[in-house]
Amino acid sequence: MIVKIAAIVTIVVVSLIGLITYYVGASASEKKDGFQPSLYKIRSVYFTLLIVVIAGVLMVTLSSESMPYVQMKKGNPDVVVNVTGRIWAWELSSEQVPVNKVIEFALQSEDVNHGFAIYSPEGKIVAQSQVMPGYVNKLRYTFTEPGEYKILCLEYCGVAHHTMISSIKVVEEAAFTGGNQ
Amino acid sequence: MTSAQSMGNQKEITRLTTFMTVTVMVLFFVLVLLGFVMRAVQSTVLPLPSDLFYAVMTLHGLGMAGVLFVGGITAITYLLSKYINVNTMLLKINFVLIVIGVVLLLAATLIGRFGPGWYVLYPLPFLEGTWPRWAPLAATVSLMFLGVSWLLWQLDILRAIIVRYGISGFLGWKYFSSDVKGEEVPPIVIIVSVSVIAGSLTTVFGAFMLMLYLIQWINPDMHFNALMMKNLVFLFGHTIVNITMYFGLAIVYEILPSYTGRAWKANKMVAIAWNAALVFVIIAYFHHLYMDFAQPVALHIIGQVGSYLSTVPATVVTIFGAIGQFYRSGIKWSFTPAALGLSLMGWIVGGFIAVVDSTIVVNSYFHNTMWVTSHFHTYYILGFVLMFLAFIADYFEVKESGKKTLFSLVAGGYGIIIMFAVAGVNSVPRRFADYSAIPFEKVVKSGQSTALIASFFALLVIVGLLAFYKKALSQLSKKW
Repeated sequence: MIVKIAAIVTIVVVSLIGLITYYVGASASEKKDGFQPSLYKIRSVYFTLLIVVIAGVLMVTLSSESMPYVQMKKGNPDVVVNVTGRIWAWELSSEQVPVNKVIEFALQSEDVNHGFAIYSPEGKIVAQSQVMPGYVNKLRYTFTEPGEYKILCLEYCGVAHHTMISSIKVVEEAAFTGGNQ
Repeated sequence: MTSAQSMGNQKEITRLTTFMTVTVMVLFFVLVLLGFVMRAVQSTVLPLPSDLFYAVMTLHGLGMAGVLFVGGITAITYLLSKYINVNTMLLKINFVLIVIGVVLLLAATLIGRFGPGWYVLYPLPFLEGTWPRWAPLAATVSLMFLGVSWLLWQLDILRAIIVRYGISGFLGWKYFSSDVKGEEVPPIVIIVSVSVIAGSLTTVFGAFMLMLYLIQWINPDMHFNALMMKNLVFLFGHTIVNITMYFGLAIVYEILPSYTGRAWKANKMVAIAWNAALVFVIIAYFHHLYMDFAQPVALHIIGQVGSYLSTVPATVVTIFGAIGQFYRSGIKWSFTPAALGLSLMGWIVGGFIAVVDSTIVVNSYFHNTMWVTSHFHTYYILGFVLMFLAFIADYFEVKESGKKTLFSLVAGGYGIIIMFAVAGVNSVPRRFADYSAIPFEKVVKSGQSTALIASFFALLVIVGLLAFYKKALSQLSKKW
């Protein structure tokens, strides 16, 4: 959903930028002054609108439940999966997790920086975090659909970076047998 | 300085400008070819071993950031030489340092197959067994030569500007007063001052990081804090790339008025906008670290707020100023003003794509996907490069309209960035030599097909560049 909104907003705004560029460019061959006071008025309106839009979007997005850091403040997770990244493989303490439960991935690296990205069975990124040597990055995510999710490395980590792939099964709670609960 | 000395100095500056401009044009063209090769490899049309792909990727990325920065230095030095006393000896020293840096980088990447990517993220450059031990040393020393060269240039330009315009003038602070006295400060001076202050401050941090890299190379058992290193590399790298864009805008402010016939002067708004940009350009780099959950959340929020606010001075002052320049100006279109107008559009489009990605909740899906690649390629191909080519056309006095050339460059550029953006929306990761291992057919197809289409658009850019170079270089003798 967020990706769709981002893509649509981008198409609309970029089209608008293109139209304004065309309009100003097309007018430029004609010579006529005296429009400046009107331009300053438009600028004042634009300035006010821009501040309102920026303030609004900042408030909505920074207070959103989708902020990746928000989940960490919500008590204990239901399941913890310890993940170790090393060139060029992932090691997960559990190969399956239950659906509709808060899963905490405790991510660490044994060598260089990696990127832990979870892809849905349809091939869309649903969550991600960097995996940095010397730190345990905690990523919390609640899977709402069962299925086989894939883990891809999204931080370039050397010549076989593009092969650093693993998977995790999301199962119904009754079928869940592993993990550190 | 006597008028004869001044004339001699101007001749020397012209020669140096020609020499450096042509060098930048050649290197830039080679790096564009490498970009084409990478897209062709990702589309599977061209075979290339992964280690060589990533070495080429590193050379393309570091090379573009460096070459375009040097292009900016060249144009700015020439344009500022009307107002300030430029140190030509330092320019020559700079050129030698840059050549040494480039040779070392070429050796590290093409011979040593050093391929950690353009931001050489610690500790990847020191991963044993990936490339020969001398390669990270050569790359580190290369970056040190380039960094020293750029720092010297920035400090000297700042010195020369302050000598000419004083403390109240160099950042346009005198325009804050209601009673402005003394001579006018051209906008280019304020923009360059803002840029080199940000650039030299962050280059010091970059130099510190490179010193740590050197220590790490000497003593492989040492380990530095990876989060600190990541902050350092983006503080330096992000700022250098951003001020390259500012150099491009300085070119626009300086040369556009000679085509529109309207003055573009500094005033209170311009001064406030660019002083604000100085703050935003330094804090915006935090948006590179949103997915590092060990970084304090407050810094992530500063990154998003700073990135959003940077649109205010950019659009309210520069874009409205540019509209005031073009609108009903009776302009006689030629390559330079057309490229400048389109470059401003490219700058704003690239900026908007960046603002979208600088939204933390969006970044969770776009971080390190092709969307990011779309943003900075828009900034460069459709923003700074067009600004720099407009400078070259102005400098070499290219009179033709160059409609076909410009169409080829712009259509090719938008084709390239749209393919990146489409791939990003489809969750295609960036920096993958080969998509075929991805376990989703849809993602593989999206990655490969967008790479193939982008290869054709890259060819269009190459054709446009060749046509432009032919026109510009035919005027070479005028400037020698």
